[in-house]
Amino acid sequence: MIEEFCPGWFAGFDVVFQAVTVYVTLAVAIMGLRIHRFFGTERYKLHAEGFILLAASYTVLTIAKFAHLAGMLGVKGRPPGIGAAAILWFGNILLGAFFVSGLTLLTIAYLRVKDRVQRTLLLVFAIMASLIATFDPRPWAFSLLHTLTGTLLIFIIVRLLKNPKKNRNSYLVIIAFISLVIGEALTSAMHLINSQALYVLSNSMTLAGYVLILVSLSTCGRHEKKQSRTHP
Amino acid sequence: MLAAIRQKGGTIKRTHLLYKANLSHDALKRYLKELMGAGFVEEIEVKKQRRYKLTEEGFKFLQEFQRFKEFSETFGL
Repeated sequence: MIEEFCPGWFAGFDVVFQAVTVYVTLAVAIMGLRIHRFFGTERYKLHAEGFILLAASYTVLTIAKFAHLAGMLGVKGRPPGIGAAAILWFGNILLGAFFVSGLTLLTIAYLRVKDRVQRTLLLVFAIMASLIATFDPRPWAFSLLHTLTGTLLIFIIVRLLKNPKKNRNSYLVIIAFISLVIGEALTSAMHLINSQALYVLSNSMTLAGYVLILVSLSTCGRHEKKQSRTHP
Repeated sequence: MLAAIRQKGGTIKRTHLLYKANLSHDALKRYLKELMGAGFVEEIEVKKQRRYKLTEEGFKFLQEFQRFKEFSETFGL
């Protein structure tokens, strides 16, 4: 989460990476909300809400990392003061809760869970897991949380692979989600072995995943624009 | 129906539309009324023949619809 795994040379790059991620997740969410308004299907709303929560988690992460970089949360190398520690602690709680609940909403949308009680139960379990991981100081707790998010992503990938109407962009989205799973697996390993190299790798894989999502999003409807030239 | 009109270059004869949209006469009449009410299609006269023209609004609607459909397929929703 918001711990100091980042190697010195990579500081700043990770903030930019997270900012790009916020942009992509928000772009997907806005598109989903527009489609929900157009078709009125709840699935799109859930998908959009999932991406909004992911955007919220990445926003918390971006702000926290930026604050850390700017020295707002204490001097690097020294333990943070009580105020800064409280901000970091609260940031960790928000980050975990937003991220896990966002991915759970996405999984609910993809698995087409229609029953509201089942949806609530899944969300409660996911948020509880994130809270337990945040409050537990042992490194394996965070590792387990990232294993959980990775598992949710694998469920989404399986649904994407079963999609009967696959096009070039859908394969890009599948590759993007595989990148995100690898990113989560690397983050999970990073917490266990406390590795800075894994921090860089996991951030890069996550960024690659979101960039692929952005590419597939921006090429949606390009075919239509070509057709539009024939309109009088 | 909108896609059928666009495929014909933006203007289509009633009989052609009936054939392309694969609809009954009554259904075509009902849908055309709805589309004209929404401002997506307008009735024009060319050489004393009734034709249906895709309006700019109808064209934009169709484009948006196709984009949303493609997004839905891309994200497997």
